[in-house]
Amino acid sequence: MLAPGATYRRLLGGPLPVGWRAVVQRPALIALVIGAFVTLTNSGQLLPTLLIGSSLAWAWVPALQLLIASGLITLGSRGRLPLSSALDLFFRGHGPWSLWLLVAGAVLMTRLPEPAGGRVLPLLLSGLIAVAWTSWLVFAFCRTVLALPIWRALLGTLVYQALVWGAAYLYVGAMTFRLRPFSKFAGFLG
Amino acid sequence: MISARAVALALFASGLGLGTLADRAPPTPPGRDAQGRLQLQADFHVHSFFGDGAIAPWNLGREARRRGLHALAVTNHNQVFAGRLVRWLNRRWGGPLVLVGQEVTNPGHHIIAAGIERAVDWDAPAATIIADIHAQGGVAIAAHPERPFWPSFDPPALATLDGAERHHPLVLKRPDGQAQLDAFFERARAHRRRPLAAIGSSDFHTAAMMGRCRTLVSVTEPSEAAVLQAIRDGHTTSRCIPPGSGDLPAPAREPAIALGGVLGWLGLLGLILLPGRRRPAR
Repeated sequence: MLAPGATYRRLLGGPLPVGWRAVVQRPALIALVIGAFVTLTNSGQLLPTLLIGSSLAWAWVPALQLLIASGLITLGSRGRLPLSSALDLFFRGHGPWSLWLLVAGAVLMTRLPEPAGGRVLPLLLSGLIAVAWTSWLVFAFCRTVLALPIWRALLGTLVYQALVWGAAYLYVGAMTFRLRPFSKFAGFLG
Repeated sequence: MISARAVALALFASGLGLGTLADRAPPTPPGRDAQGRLQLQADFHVHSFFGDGAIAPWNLGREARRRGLHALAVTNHNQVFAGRLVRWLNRRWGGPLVLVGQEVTNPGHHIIAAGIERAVDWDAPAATIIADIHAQGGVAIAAHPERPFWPSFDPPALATLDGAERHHPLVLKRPDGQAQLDAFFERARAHRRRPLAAIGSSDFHTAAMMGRCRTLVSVTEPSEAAVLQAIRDGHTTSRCIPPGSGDLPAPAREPAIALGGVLGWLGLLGLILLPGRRRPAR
């Protein structure tokens, strides 16, 4: 996570996993981390029912990232690597967000059963570190694994982040009906 | 030689094992009030996944039961889909009573609609929203009625509300939070002839505990209809329960809980940071 270019070059020089396991295992770990965040911040413990239920519910997040990353890799890789291997390498770059979830989870756990209160805003702002760090890792992936020139790697990074955060905006808007244009269509689900 | 990653996995498994021992949610028998009626503990303001709540519909009933709740209203912003799903699941699984609800979210007022079947149009004055809720047989509760929301609740709205949140986690955060909720409650009571139900709610989204503030509802029988009638009749009391009580364990103060959480957390940290063994491609 600290020297992504060198790390990706080293990994490319060795054997890479292929097949469905390579595609699924890291996104599954991400779903588990999100599920653990939910159970730890709501009960202070790893309750299996809450862990499994929350991991299943929030699995759409890594699944969406998988979909967007697949598009990025397919358009950018020109067949240099099997898609499954490239996805495995891509998801090695999820460390910043997984770490942020664990740190935020630890902070919130210590507050239970009180609500997070004034800690929410600083925690959310600290997510900007994860955004920047992830952008760096995605750029390094585009440059090293996909062997894209600088401007195309920058474009790929911007497009990936725009799609992921655009999806997040759509989710929050649709689920809360408090963001435009969803506020105009409030209640269509009910 | 045991790898560091194997140690991380063992730590995670240990945390999960301790969590498994604690993962019980036996139903809490309801109490009785001074008149001998059943007294249910309820949280009428809970957000769920498929909304801006973190907990999934298939987990919500169990988590409510774990907090000693007998009834809850699932109140996502301006939609009832999640509430209907939670109710459907808990009717089949024998979970707590679930009222389908909505937090009718308008820039000037938030109103909890409990016991409805279809989402209520949010873009209307408070009195109109309350009338729409009543037309569906539901009850209207003023949600966290702090001072900025007071202008939206004109006399017709105050006269037709069924309840108001008198205990809400904001009272724990702000020095004058309780005073604001009490002032609204008294103001609403002055505009009506029938009782106003005092409601305690957690406004649960995530990173807190459902039922931190709750309502004690005196009912004739444990049913959704009886709960709604009790609110209309004002047969409720509200409170926030202290941390460290049986229903609200405080992990930071209870070593058994803290140990499981810390072990699981450390294990996950190791699984994220430590590289796995690289298998050759087949």
